[in-house]
Order: sequence, then C-alpha cells, then structure tokens
Amino acid sequence: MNKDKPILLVEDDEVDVMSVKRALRDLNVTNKLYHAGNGEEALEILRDPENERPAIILLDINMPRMNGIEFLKVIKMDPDLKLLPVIMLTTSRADIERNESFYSGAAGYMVKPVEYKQFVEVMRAINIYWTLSELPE
Amino acid sequence: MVLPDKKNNKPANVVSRSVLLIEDDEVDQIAFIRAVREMAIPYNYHIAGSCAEAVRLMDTKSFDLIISDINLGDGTVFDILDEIRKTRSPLIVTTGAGDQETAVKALKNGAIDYLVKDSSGSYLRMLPHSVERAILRDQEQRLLSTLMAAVEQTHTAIAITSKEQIITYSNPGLNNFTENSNKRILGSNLSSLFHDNNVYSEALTTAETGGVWNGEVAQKRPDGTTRWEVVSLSEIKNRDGGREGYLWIAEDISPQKNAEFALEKEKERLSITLRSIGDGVIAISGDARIIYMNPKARELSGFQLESNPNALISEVYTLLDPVTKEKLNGDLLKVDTSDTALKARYLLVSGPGKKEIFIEQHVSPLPLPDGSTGKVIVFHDITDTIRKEEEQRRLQQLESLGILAGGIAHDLNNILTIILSNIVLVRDLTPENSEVLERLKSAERAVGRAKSLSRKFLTFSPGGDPVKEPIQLGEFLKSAPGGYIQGGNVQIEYDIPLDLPMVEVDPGQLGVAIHQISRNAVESMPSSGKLKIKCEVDEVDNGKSRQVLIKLIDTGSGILPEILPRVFEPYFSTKEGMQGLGLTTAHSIITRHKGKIDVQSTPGKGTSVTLSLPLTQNASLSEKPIEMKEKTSNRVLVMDDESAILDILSIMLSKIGYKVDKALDGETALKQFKIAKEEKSPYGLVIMDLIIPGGLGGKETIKFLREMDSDVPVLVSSGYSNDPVMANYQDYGFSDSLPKPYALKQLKEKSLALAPL
Repeated sequence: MNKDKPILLVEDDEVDVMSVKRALRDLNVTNKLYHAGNGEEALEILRDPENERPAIILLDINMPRMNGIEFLKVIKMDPDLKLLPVIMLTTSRADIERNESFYSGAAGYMVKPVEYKQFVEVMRAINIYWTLSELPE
Repeated sequence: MVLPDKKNNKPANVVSRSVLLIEDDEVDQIAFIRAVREMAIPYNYHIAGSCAEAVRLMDTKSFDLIISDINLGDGTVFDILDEIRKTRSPLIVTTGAGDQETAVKALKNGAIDYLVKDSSGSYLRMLPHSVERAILRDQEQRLLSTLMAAVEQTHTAIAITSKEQIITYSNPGLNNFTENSNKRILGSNLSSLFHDNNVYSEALTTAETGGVWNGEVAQKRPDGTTRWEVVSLSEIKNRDGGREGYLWIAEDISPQKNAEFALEKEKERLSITLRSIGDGVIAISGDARIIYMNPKARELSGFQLESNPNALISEVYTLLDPVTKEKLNGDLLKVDTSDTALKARYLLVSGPGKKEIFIEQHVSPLPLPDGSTGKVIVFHDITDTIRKEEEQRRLQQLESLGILAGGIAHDLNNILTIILSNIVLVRDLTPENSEVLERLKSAERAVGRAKSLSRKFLTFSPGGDPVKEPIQLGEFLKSAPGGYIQGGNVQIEYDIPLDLPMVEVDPGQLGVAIHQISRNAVESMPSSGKLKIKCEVDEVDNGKSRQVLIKLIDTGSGILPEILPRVFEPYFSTKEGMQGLGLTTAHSIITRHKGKIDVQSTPGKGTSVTLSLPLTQNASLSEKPIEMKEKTSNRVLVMDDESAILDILSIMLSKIGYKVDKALDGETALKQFKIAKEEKSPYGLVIMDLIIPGGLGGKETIKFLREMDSDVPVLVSSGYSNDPVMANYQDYGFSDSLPKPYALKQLKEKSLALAPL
C-alpha cells in the first residue's frame, strides 16, 4: 500500500478490528490507521480537513447506523471521494450483497476467514495488490 | 581721680575683650573711656547712651561682656534684660552707693556681678578684675550647666553619695534604671544600689583604697527576665585630696548580653548537633591539622584528639579506592563546589582494628578566626547502604533469573504436556503385561520428575500464588525429601499416620520448601545423623478449624540462639558460598499457603522445623465435591498457540467423547465461538491457553467471550502455573484452571465436571 497514506478501516466488531491491526503489524504495514465504527463516523473522518486522505478503505457491510453498502453509495456520489478504492472486507457471503457492492463501485470483495492465519493471507493479498496498483492522482 | 599705676594695675592676663557699656551719664562714660585708656586695657568697647541704643547695638554686634547702669535715660536695665539675656553675654550692673538693694535684684535677674559707683571713680580701677571674674564665672556656670545637662540626660545611671555612703544625687537615668520609681533613692544608702552585700563590700573596699571597682551584675526583673548591668564604683576626691563621696555608675548591657547568650546557645546547639549526628565531622586548619572531631568521627577513625592535639589529618583519615582497595594519594580533600555534586565514595580504614568501611565524603571550606581557610570534612558510613544496594542487585539478578526460569518452565510444560499426553495415549493402546507398558510407565515417571523440576523453576519467578490441588501428604513426603537427599549418612525416619486427610497444596512449591528445610538439616549433620519427618493433625481455635503439622526434626549441630531470629532473612547464611535463600523461600511458600513456619533449636542437639498448613473442610473430604452440571453440548473449542498441544488435546478430548474445534489464537477462537452461537450449535466447553505471544491470549479473550456468553464453562490452562490468573481464575471469568503439564486423567476430571456428557 502507498506507504505515506493512511488506511481507513470501517468496522464495528472489536475482535475484527484487533485482527486487522494485528495482521497489519505482522505484515509490517506501518501506515497510519483510521478506524470508524460505522459509515457515519467514516464520513466524518473523510470530511474532516485535518485528516489525511486515505490510500484505501476497508469496509465491513454489517454495521449499525449507516451500513457498508449505504456508505459506499454515499462516497461514490461524492466527486471528492469517488476515486478512493474501497475493499469490502466482510463476513457476508450473500450474493446479493456482493452484487450490490460491485454495482455501487467497490474495488474488491473479500470474505474474512475465521482463522487468523488465513485472515493474514487475505490482508497480505490486499496489501500486495494495492502496493502494485497505480492509482490516479 | 587716682588711677592705678599702669604697671601694677594692668592685669597680666588681660586679653582683648569686646565690651558694651550702657550708661546715660556722659561723665561716667568719659570716666570709663579714660580709665580704659589709662590702664591700657585692650578693650574694644561700644557705648550706648540709652536703652534703645543698647538694644540696637546688641542686635548688630556680639560682646564678651555687658556693663550697664541701672537707671538709664529712657528706662532701666530691667527693661532690656530679655534682650541682654538673648546675647548670652555676662552682665555687670553699676549702681550708685546706697542702692545695693537694686543691685541684688539685678543679680537675681541674671546679672553676674555689680559695681558700686563712687564719686572718686575708683570702682573703675576694679573694672578689669571684675570683668575677668565675671567672664570666668560665666564660663564656669555654663560648663556646670552643660555638665549637669549631660548627667541628667544620659541613659547611664549615675549616683553620687556622701562619704558616709548616703546617696545625695541620682540622675534621671537611675530613676529609669531602678524601675521601681516609688523607691526613694535620695537619702538611702549606697548599698541599696547593690543587690548582693558581698559584692557591695568588695566594691566599697576597692573604691575606698582609691581604685575603681567594675563588675557585671545580673538583676532579676519583676517580669522574670534578667537584666544585665555593668556597674562601676569609685571615690570622689575633693581638692585637698580627701574623700568627698562616691560615684556609682551603671549601664544596662542586657541587649549585648542577650546577643552574647544567644550566640553561646547557638554554639551549644551546634555542638550538641555535631555530637549527636550520625555523620563524622572533622575540621582541619589550612595546614591540614585537626582542629575538631565530633564523637562519630572519633568512633569511626578510632582516634582520640586529646591524646594528640596537633595531629595531621593524614594520620587519622586513610582513604582507599573502593574497588581496588589501594591507598589513595593526592588531594582527596578537594572542596566540593556544587551542592548537588555526587559525594565521593571511598573506603575508610577505620579504628584500631583497621576495619574498612565505605564512606561518602563531602568537603566544604571553613573560614577560621585567624583569617586562614580550613576545611570541614563530613563523612557518612554507607557500608550498610552499599550492602543493601548489593542485595538489591542480587535480588534483581535473581528476579531476572526468575523471569527467565519462568519462560523456560512454560515452554518445558508445553512440551511435557505433549509428551505426557502421548505416553498416556500410547499406554492406553498397549495391552496389559506388555513389556512396552513398563517402559511407558518409566517414561511417565520421568515426566513427573521433569514436571516437579519445572515447578521449582517457577517458585523463583515473580508472582507465585500456589496452584493448589489435593494431595496425599504421606506419599508426597516420602517421595519428596528422599529424592533430594543424595547419599550421606543421614537416616530418614517417617512418622506419618495412615488416616492423614488430603491436603490442598501446590505440590511443586511445598516440595521446594521441604527440600530446602531437609537440605539444611542434612548439612547440619556432616558425619551422620537422623532426620525425622512427622505429621499430625492439630485442632485450633477451639476445634473450629484443623491444621496439619509437618515436623522435620534433625540431630544436627543446631542454631545459636542469637542467629535463630535471622534464619528467614534473605541472604542470611552462616555457610560460605551459600546464597542464604533456602529458608526464605520455604518461609514465603508456607506463608503463601496461609500456613506458618516455626524453628526451634538447641545448639549441639538439633533443630526442629514445624510447618503448619490449614486443612480446609473440602480437603478433609479428600476430594472436592463437584457440582454436577446438566448436559449441554458435546462441542469443545480448544485454543492454544502450540499446534502439537492442540492436536493431542483434541485426540484426548475426542477419546473422552467430545467434538473438538481448534483455534491457534484468541481472534480465531472468538470468531468460531460467535459463528457456532449464530448457527445455534454452541460450544459446551472452551479450553484456553493463558498466554499467546503476539495475539489474544486467554486472559484477553475471556473478556470478549464473556460479553457474548456469560455461562459457558471456560477452562484456563497454562505452563505459567504460577501466574496469578491460574490461582484466582474466577476473578478473571474462568470456570477452572488446569496447570500444564497435565495427563488425560486430570483433563477428563475437569472437563467432565464442567461439561458432562
């Protein structure tokens, strides 16, 4: 991942937040991490001029208040934010959610493995892809 | 007019005077002018013919003397007396014969003399004498009044007595002095000014023989304070040299005296301080000679200043390098300029025994009365501090060793769990009477020994709450010390009743305690002896509770009474090269078991150590009553970072009859638990490892798990069997604890109790 820019994690499950943090640490990803517990919070973080624009957004679907799909739709309507790559990182395996995510402009869709070791592998894949991928300025 | 002969009548000492003559009679004026001229008196005179003229002249000029007629044309001399007085010049009045009455009136009003005019004018011949006498008298009067004013105004108390010692004069200073102003001073005896008759007669004797007596006298004041006076008494001689009376002078010197006392008290305080402080203080002169040593300095150096008052500091104060113990040369008494500077540490050769003590020294400059600069050396015996620092360091070493040992024990326990479990599994698969079975049992026993070894490691690591389990004390005691005591000629005798109840202890820790005590016993019997191990149950608190006593009685050399109270102190050892931690460890172990340890000894006969351990009601029933739970689910979730343990654990649990899921860390375990719950197929039991490096260990995971499910039984297991969580598992949310290594038997008991099948 672009080393200079932060990662935005939108996730309500405390254990999953811990898993992401631990995995990033195990993968030596040292980017700054913003964490939002739901879509509304994530929008606040993105729209606060004090905060750096993230390189990537990791987005859970099932969240209270503004869920992942709603959040995705909002930022893809916003000309300022629409170019940010959003990876759906979720436990949901439902077709309908997968389809809706891609229709709404998600850049990827990953199911969180139960086992931590596999979880690290998923994170590794995300890290490699978004390190190599060239993004528009 | 007959005028005096120039030679005879001109007074030899007549000096030039400025004189004012006030005279309205022209004839008398001329007579005066002629007399002055004829007698060649060097007067510079002015003549006023009337009061008005006199006033004008007195306003503009000053005169040594004024001579005035009484009756003047425009008034009398009395009219201008005020103006005359203002000039402060002496006044002589002249008057006609038969008018002496008026002259006396003039004298009363301040004239200093009078001359009676005679028709022959001979009174003028008396003029120079009268003038000089008048001026002299005036001067004397002035001096006297100045003297009087001085005496009256001084704060010094002055009294003058007659030669019979009756006070004839006292100045206001004395009235203030005596405070009791009602007291009549005038007319009383001189002795009343002295409060001590002996002092009075001594003073009087001195004064009578022509001397001046001086003395300091302390007077108690009515308010209880003391006034200090310096008093002087001397004789007053008259012109003939005879005694006229006495002069008594006194001054209040209390302020000076009090300042002096304050200084003295300060000195005394300082001296007491120096005497009583625990630091050695030595003052030396500029040429390094000792001026002062306080008692502590004498004690530490063993040097008596009185026996050698001119000693050099180098004779007394020998400093060594604290590390090399070599004698230090050079200027070791450099003045420390900074207050916060680290004090220099040295070894001081102390006393006649040439003992070496550690000191900390601070040197300050000392200005001396002769203007030179000496030094003050303050030094402090820090031998104890150094020893404590050393102990602290050893303790820290031991602690880090303990942490290391704890880590080793943890890994060892994991490995032993795998070995032991596999042995047990293989053993169960092996037919009876097989030779393999014997080998497996031997291996199992070896694991048991390794297990107690790893427990011993943990005793030294921090924490160390006992993880208690019920044991058969008899069996335990027979195996414990026997295993430790190697060879020697010590015979061991057991006196253990067969009906001894089960005791709840941490077997690893108790083993260490027994080992330390029996090792001490064996070492006290180098040639031969007997160690008796005796157990009994004792009722305490009027039979309300019971305790088990373990007595270890040896026939060794015993412990001296003066040493006995110190045997549990850390690092206290009478044996060269020993750490002195054995009994300390035993003491802390027994205390952690809420028990007591007591040592009794007779030198030459032997030592008896008694351990008393409380018997819980449960323990006396030999097994914990287990609350049988309802059967819930046969699914078990096992979490451990060691996959070999996960494997063997799931095999064992499968053998018991559970369906096992594995997780390598807390994150995984939590997710699995959540999914199982969501899928309505929850776990009936969770077994967690306490610590998982890098990830969520049992201690953290249980918090999240309890948020999801507050009822599911969770068993915590760890190789860190001394971790406080293991002893107080309930406080953290666990249902029970299982120290590693464990065999199938323990696992089965605990898991079935928590999750019956």
